Amino acid sequence: MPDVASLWLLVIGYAALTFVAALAAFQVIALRNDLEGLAWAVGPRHKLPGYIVAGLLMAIAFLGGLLLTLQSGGLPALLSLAALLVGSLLALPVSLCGAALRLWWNRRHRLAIPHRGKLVELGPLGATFYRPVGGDAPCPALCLLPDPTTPDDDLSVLIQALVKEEIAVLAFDWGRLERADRLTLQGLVAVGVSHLERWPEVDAGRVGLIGVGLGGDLALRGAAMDPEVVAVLAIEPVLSAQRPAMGIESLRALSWFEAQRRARTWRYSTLSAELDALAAIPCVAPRSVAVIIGCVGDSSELDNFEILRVAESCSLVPTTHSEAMGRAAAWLKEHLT
Amino acid sequence: MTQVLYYYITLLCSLRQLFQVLPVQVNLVLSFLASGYLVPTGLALATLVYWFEGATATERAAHQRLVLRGLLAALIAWEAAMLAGLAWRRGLNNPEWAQVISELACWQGPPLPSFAAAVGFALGTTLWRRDWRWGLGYCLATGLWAIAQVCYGLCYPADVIVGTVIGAGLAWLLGYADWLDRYLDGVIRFVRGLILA
Repeated sequence: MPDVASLWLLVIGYAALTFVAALAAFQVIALRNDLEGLAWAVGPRHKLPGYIVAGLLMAIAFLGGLLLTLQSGGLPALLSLAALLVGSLLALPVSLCGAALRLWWNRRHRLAIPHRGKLVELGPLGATFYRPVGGDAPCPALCLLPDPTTPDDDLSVLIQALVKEEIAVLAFDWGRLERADRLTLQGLVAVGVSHLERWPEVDAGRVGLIGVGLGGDLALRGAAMDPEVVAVLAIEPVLSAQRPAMGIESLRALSWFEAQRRARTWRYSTLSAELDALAAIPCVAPRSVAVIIGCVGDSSELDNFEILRVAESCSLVPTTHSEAMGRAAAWLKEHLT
Repeated sequence: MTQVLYYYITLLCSLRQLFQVLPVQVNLVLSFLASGYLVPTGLALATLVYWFEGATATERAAHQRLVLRGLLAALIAWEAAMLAGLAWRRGLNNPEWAQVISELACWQGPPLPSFAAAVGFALGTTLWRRDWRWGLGYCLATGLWAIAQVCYGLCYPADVIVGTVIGAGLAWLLGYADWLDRYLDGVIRFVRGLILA
């Protein structure tokens, strides 16, 4: 019968091995379900190296377990269970933190897309105007509204997709805005739309709105207030203050910390209730309206507009998802012409 | 009662002697398999993987409901096995039985339904009802674990049989309790709020 100190050491040893095995399991889970926010070692885009890392860790954990068992004869059942729980529970926060660090690092070192836009001042708001390459004829144009609660979202993939479809884009930058209440935001949207209509290269009869997250709600409300807006597309709008929790799907695009922050902001923001995008939709409905959503949200409430779901999965639609953004751009191209 | 105990103890009890004469490497592997590390860790990690499986949120929620149901069945089976073991112990804690026990050739301590079999088969049976491949995998791994424990002399073969009946039976019965889904959905909603479901 081992003494208490060696028993403790044994429990710690088994817990450490379980920790390693659980890290490997979380890596496998992230790869199988494309969860960027859980992939602490290798992202889901590099499956083979990810599986190799997980396999190596699993082998280390089980060989270590074999050696420890041979040396000590194993642990009593309850202590084994305790070691298993401690190891697995420790591995979860480590995986989430590791994935958050990996995403942060990737974002920092991502090659910047060449900036071809023109900076525009719209009162207190900064914006960037992107016009399609080539073609002298007036083109359709859009105001792109990021989520006011997360103005640092990377929308470059979406902008590229829109410009590729020969749509001019006026991308708002909420970062400089000191006060983001409903009236200010709606006023700025109206200023943006009228600015686009006066732009010489833009066809004034083909101006639309596109928004992401709460920006989507703002786009829907803005379109309801402004009959000049021809088409509106909301990407993953909040729609309701009673929106269900985002769930694991959000880890496909965000780290756990970002997802938690976003969920909390949406839950406690009064903007979604004030904008009441669901009520705004019927006012826009004679014109073209579409919403890109995942499975969250009560779709039975939604009516009178097109829902573009992202193929094969049911996730919080990331704006870096090139296929989804391509579909969004194609829909806008179709309805702005 | 003596007959019951006799059959419980002596049923296939020569297995241990049989395996003791095998090469030392085989016994090493058996001891590793029988320990509370390899198979339980494997089962726990498989459960973790199953929790996150699913192409859509609805499918994933169904998996999560099943995992919670399986864990509940395993917990109840664990308790039931422990209570059965305690009952045996209390029943045999009598000087009259000392004489009877001393005559049993294969005595390795009082009978105790196998926790491994009870917990593993409870999980396996629960998963089997929805996804037989996962259920079969769990049952095979648990079977291997329990057989290794018998061969290594950690429990009687009848312990494994009783543990299996307790685990599988409870899980099967629990499978009919549809009213549980309401409570399990509540747990899933809570974990979903933590962005982990």
